[in-house]
Amino acid sequence: MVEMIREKKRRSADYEIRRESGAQDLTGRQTCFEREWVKRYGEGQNSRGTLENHRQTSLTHQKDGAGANRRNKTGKLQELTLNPPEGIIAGPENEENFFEWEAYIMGPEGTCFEGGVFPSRLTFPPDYPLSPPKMKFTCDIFHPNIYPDGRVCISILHAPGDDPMGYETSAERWSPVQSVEKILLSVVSMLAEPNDESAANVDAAKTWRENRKKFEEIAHRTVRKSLGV
Amino acid sequence: MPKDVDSDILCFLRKSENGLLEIGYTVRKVASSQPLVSEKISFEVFGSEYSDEDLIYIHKLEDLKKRYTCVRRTRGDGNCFYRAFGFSYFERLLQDKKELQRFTDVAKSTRDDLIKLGFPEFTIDDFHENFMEVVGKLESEFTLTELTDTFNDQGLSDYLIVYLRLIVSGFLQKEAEFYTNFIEGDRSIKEFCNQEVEPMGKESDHIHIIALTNALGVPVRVEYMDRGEGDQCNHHDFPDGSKPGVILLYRPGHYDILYT
Repeated sequence: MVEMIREKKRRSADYEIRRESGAQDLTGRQTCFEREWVKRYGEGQNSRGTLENHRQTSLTHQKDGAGANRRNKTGKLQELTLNPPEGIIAGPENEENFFEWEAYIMGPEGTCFEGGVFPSRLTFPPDYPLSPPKMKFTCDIFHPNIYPDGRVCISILHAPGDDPMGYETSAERWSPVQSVEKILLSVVSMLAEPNDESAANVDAAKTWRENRKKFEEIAHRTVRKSLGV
Repeated sequence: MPKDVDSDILCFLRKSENGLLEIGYTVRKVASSQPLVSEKISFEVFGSEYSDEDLIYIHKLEDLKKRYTCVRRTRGDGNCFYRAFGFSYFERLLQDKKELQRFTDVAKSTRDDLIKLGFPEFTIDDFHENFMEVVGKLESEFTLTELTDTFNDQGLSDYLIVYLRLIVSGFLQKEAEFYTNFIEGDRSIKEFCNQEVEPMGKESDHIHIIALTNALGVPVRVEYMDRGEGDQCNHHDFPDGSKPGVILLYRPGHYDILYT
């Protein structure tokens, strides 16, 4: 078991390195995306970076190429792929589509999800960051705030007024200054502290509330499954 | 038999699906048929949406006509206060270079204020730089047509709105001690800003107007055209006793721009 976790961690570390070199590739040479960018919007509109690319593309799509002007901050926007917060790996699935990201979340230490590595997908709308992305776990995970089909339901993924669960008023909502990093950190704390008052999975909320031992058993099974054992 | 029923249901579903698509399409069409910021329009055109029997509004329109020449409409998308304020003020800055110089300095300093409050640099810079770029163009590059085009370009225009919202949020948080008294419920200023100020489409109340006018030092007059008694529109200047250069028309739930 420990071996497997180590192996999985190593694999995810490999993944991270692959991501890093991928990102460095992006800075080092012209990618398909960049070529397309240059073709569409002219030289000098540097398209490096990841999230920033996304912001630029989405904006530029809306602007009909009226001159993207946010090229200097691209480096900063790579931060998430290069130096993600501990326990999180995230980046675009491939270099041609910056609207689909994959993210791996490690189960927070000291919780029943500890040791697990849970894959998920983030889908960005064309007007990101004005509207939030959607997030969906692509593995089985039994949790009060995750729908049975994997969709994550937390307040930061919703603008105020758009709250299927009627979140408490103090819950943090999406606004254009939020970021992917902030979302993923919220997801980590959601794993650590389920909110059974606004449940997306009623069954999971009930189990969490009434039979914590069973909930933990299911979580342990999920962890093992996520590690492929 | 069941097969027929199935095909009936399928047919019905297909129809309703088309219906829904159509509704969605109509909603989008209505939204996009109304410009984010319109050309100047006369009170005759502006008033044509009111019935002749709607005396309260007819009288109030007559009253407005005495004091103002025309109106510019903004799209009713929850951002209309910011869009109307931004456009009207920038339009004035095209003429007033001294005020532009003052405003440029103020606008520049808002970035550091926001960073100090703990907003993440990379998300702030994105909006700040877009904002400053447009402000920079007011100096010499921009014609009125280009300004109108910029405000009607959804991407650029919304980025300007986001930054105006951030200025309001930053100001309220900086002056939290005072403004916390005006927040309903037991929300903190930070929560209020996260939920009622920063997200796009959240409508503005007095507190937003007061914050924006104070943060930028730009006084605003609002003419209120509602169903209240009287033949005249009441107005209020933010702050009290100021000489506003930006004049907005408020009808319940919506702001447009007025011209003298």
